Amino acid sequence: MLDILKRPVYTFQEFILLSIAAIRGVFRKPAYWGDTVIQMDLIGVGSLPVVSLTGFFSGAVMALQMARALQTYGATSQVGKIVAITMVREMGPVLTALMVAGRNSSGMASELGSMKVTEQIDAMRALGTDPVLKLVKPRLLATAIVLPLLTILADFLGLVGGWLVACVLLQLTPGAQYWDTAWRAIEYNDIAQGLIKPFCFAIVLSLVGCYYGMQTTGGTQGVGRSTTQAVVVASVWVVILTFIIGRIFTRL
Amino acid sequence: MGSPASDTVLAFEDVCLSFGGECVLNEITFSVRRGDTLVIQGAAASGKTLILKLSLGLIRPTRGRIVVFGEDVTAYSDSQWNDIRARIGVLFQEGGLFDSLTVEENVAYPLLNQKREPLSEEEVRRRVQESLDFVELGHTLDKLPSELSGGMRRRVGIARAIVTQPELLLYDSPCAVASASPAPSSRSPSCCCTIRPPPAWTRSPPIRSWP
Repeated sequence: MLDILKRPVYTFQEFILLSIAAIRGVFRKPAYWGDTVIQMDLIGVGSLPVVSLTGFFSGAVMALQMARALQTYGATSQVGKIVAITMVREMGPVLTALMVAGRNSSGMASELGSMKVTEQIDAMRALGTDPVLKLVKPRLLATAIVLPLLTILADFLGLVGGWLVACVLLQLTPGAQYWDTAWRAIEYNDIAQGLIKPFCFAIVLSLVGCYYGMQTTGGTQGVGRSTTQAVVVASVWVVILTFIIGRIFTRL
Repeated sequence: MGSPASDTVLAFEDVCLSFGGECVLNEITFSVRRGDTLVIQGAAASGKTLILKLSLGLIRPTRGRIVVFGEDVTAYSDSQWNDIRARIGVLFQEGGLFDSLTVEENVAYPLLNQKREPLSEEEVRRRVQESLDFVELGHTLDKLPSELSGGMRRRVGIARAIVTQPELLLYDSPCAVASASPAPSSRSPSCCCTIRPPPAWTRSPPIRSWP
């Protein structure tokens, strides 16, 4: 029984240790701003197409599916409200994070994993550079900065997608009413959780990607394994965290 | 703790290393003095690379004492180790070159990132060139490691190890790729610690003539 628990507990302990080192590293020198900017470009600009498409179509689908349900109650004028609330609270943050997990947590795990198996991380330490500061910190900072921004973009494009379906395609409600109900529906609470979520997801996504990369053993096969584990673990944590944060905010 | 002789550069005293209860290295004891060359031979997976990593503080021994440059480094933290590492040159088994950096940036890395007096740009370039010329790769400055052959990468690794003119040079299987003749499979010469006084590397025989 204890042997079964040993491995996950050990993994969790190592992950927490790396997280503490990385978060402390944020306040330590050297800053490696150049690396952070490169990572922001890779994660932020690189994810723009996929995040835009996901945001747009999730809003459109939301409007499409809700149209019938709302018609039953004769409440088609409320479609903007539903799209706005679901996009800002859940769909925007979660879908963006899942996309970035698939693109970047995997990328971090495979990049750092390759460096690990070719002894580049050992070489880095031997040559006097702390790999946590040089490799993990820029990725953590970059993700924490760009993921909330990507989420805002996805939220907005989701609303545009919803508007196109509801007002142009199905003509359920006039455009002005759509935007008015959407605007009125969003409260500060929604915006707060809609921005705190991606920030927390970003920390988890980047640290999980880096952790599995740094733990890689066993050559190219090991790199593949780490990459898969990173995506799976990061995605599952996104879904768990969104529930926990959502629960905290519904009590506020 | 008795202080070791001042000219001892690297010493292991009853060093044991185990992973999850399994003993990998058992009571390793040796010492290397300034000017000595020590070659460690052993079958594959007998722990030669681990000895090298222990000597660099990349892993910690389970028991025993490691002394580098007369300092007991067994319990040193990573930041304390960095002062020691700045005086050691190392060639890893896989070369350990950073594949996102050019050959020139790779060789300049220890000069720019280790704790030492800052060097001028020209001085860095001169030493990188000198070090690469020594391994006869002075013309590959702008290439990426992926554009080089295995043997050339190994030689760039050697150039990076010697560019700081370290007091202690650790080579992990330096001849594995660089040599033309295949090593005997069971007891390949794997972990060489070569210890030289600082300026001597410029007078060493060229890499070509190595076994």
